[in-house]
Amino acid sequence: MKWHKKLTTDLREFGIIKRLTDLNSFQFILILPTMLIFILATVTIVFGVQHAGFNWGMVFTWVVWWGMLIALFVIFGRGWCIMCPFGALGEWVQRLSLWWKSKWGIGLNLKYPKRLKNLWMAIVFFVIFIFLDSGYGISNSPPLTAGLLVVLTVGAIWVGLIFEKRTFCLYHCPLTAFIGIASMMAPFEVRRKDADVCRQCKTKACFNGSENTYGCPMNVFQGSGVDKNRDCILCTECVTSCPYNNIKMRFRPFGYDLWNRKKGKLDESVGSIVIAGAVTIVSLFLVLFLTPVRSAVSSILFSGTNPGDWVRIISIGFLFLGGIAVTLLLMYGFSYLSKRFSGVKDIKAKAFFVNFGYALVPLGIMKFLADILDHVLRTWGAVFDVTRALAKDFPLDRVYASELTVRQLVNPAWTYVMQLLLTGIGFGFSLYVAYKLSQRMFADRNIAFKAFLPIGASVFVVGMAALWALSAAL
Amino acid sequence: MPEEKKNLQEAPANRISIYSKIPFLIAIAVVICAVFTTGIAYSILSVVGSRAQYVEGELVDGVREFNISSLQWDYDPAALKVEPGDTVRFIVTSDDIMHGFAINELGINLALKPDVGVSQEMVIPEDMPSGVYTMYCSIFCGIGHPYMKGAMLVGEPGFEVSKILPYIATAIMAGMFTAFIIIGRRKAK
Repeated sequence: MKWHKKLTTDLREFGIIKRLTDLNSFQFILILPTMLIFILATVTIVFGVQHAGFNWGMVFTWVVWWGMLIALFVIFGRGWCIMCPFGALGEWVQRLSLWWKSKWGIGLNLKYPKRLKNLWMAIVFFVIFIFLDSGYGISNSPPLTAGLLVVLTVGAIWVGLIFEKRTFCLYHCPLTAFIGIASMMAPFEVRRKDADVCRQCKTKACFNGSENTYGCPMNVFQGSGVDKNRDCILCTECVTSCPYNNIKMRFRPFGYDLWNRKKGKLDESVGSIVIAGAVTIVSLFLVLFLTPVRSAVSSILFSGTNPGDWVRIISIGFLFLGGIAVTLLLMYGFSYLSKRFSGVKDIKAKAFFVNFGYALVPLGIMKFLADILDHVLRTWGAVFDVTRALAKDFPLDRVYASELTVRQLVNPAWTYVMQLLLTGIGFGFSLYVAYKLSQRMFADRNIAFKAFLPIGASVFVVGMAALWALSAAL
Repeated sequence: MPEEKKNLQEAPANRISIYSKIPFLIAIAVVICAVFTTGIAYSILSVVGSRAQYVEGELVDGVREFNISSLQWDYDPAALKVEPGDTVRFIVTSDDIMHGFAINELGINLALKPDVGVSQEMVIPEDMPSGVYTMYCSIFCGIGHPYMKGAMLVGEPGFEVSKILPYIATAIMAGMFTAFIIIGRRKAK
C-alpha cells in the first residue's frame, strides 16, 4: 500500500505507528514530557517573577500551550487530551498505576448519573472559565493561573476517586465541551474496521479491557459503531485492547462528523453556538459597547480596586453573557425562519435549532484560531527571552528577562490578512455544513434548499460579526 | 352549478403561497444579510472613526510626550501622530489588569502593571517610511486581547490597502453565499 493510501486507510499500516500504539505505555510516553513541563510551569508561576509578561510559566501556558491547543483541535480534535497531565493524574490515582494493569485501585468507581451525562455542565464551566479570564484576568495573573492549575488537578483527582473512568474529562473539564465539539470537525478519527468482527466479539475488550489493558477510559464503545469524535481522546487504549486488530486510525475529510453523526443533540448544538458566539457576537459587542456600558455602570456603582473592579467586571460580564444570549436567540430565530421557509408543519423549530446549530462549529473554531494566531505571532519573541531568564535561575525563575523582544514573526498587516483568511475559510465551511445539514434533514432537495436559506443567512450574519470585529482596530 | 361553485371555493386553497416561491425566499434572505451587514459595518466604522482622532502629544523640553492609559481592551489615546526624527516619550499606565504596549517597528515593548506608569524615550528614525504602524498589547489579557490595538501615524501616508480589506472580504463572503444559493437552487430544480 502506498504511504498516502495508508494515511486515509489506517495509520497503523506504518510499522512505527503500529509498534508505538501497541505499547501499553504509549499514552504515558506522551504524557511524561507535558507533565514535566507543567510541573516546571507551576513552580515558576508560584515562585517566579509575579508578572504575566516575564514569568516563564505564564508565557509558556498562555502563548505556547493555548496556541498549540487550538491549532491541535483543527487537525487532531482531542489530540491534546491524550497528553493532558490533569486527566492523567486523576487516572493514575484512581488506578494506582501509570500504565500497567493494576489489581488494586483506590477509586470508588461509581457510575456517573445518567441525567448528567451530557455537555450542559461542561458548557457552563467553559462560559465561566472564559468570563473569569476576561473579567479577572486568569491568563494575566500568576496567582490566578496557579489557582486554575490547582483546581484542575484537585478536580481531576477528586472526581477520579469517586466516579469511574475519566468522568472529569468527559463532563467537568472546562475545556471538554470546546474540545469535544471542535474534534467533530477534525480530519482524524479512530474507528472500528469491520462491524461483523465486533458483532461476533464476546469480550468487548475495547470497552471492558483485557488482562493487560483497561479499555476505553472515555466510555466510548467502538463496537457499537462510533459516529463522532466528541469523546474520543485518541489514547489508543481500544487499539491495544482489541484482540482482533479491528481498530483503525485514519485521516478523513474535514468536518465529517458534523453532518454524518447519527442524531443531533441539544447540548451539542447549544455548545456549538456558544463557542461561535464567544468569538464573534461577543467580540463585536465588546468592541462596540464596552466603553459606553462601562460609563453607564460607573454612574451606578463605585469602582473597586483592580482587578476586583466591579464596574469593569459587571460591564464585561453583561456584554459577555449578553452576546452569548443574543447568538442563541439569533440562531433560534433563524431556525424558526428555516421552518417557515421549508413549509414543513410537523417539525418543531427546536428540531431545526438542534440540527443546524452544528453549522457554526467551523466558523467558531477558525475565528478562535484567528484570534490566537494574532496573539502568538505578536508575543512569540518573549518565549525566548523568558526562557533565557529561567535558565539563569532554574527552576524558580526569579530573574526578570532583560527585555521582551518585539519579534513578531509576521507584521500586523499580514497577520490581519491571515486572520481574514482563516475567518473566511471557517465561514465558507460553515455554509457548506449548513447546506449538508439541510440535505440530511430533508430528502426533498427543494425543501432542503428552502430550509438552508435562513440558516445560510445566519451564518453570514455571524460571519460578518467576526469579520468586522477583526477590522475594528485602527 | 353546485359543481362550479365547489371549484370556485377550492381555487384559493390551491393557489401557491408567496412563501413557497423560491425567488421571494431568496430575496428575504438577501435583505436580512444586507441589513445586518450594513448595521454591523456602520457601527464598527463609527467606533473606529471616533477613535481615529490623532494626538500629537505635548512638547516638553523638545520631547514629544504621550501620556497613554491602557485598559481592557483599548488605549487612550488610541491614535498617535509623530514625525520622522522626533524624540518621543511614551508614558504608559494600565488602569485595570496587566497589559503590554508594543510597536514592532520601533522595537518597543513595555510590560505594564496596574496603576504603575512606565516611561520610555526614543527617537523616531529619520528614514522611517510614512505609514500607519500598529501599537498593540503584548501580554495576553482576555477574550478582547486581539482587539487591543492602536495606531501610530508617521508622516503623511498615502492610500492604505488594509482600509479596504474588510470591504473586499465582505464582498468575497457575500459571493460565497451567493454561490451556495445558485448551486443549491440549481440542484433544487
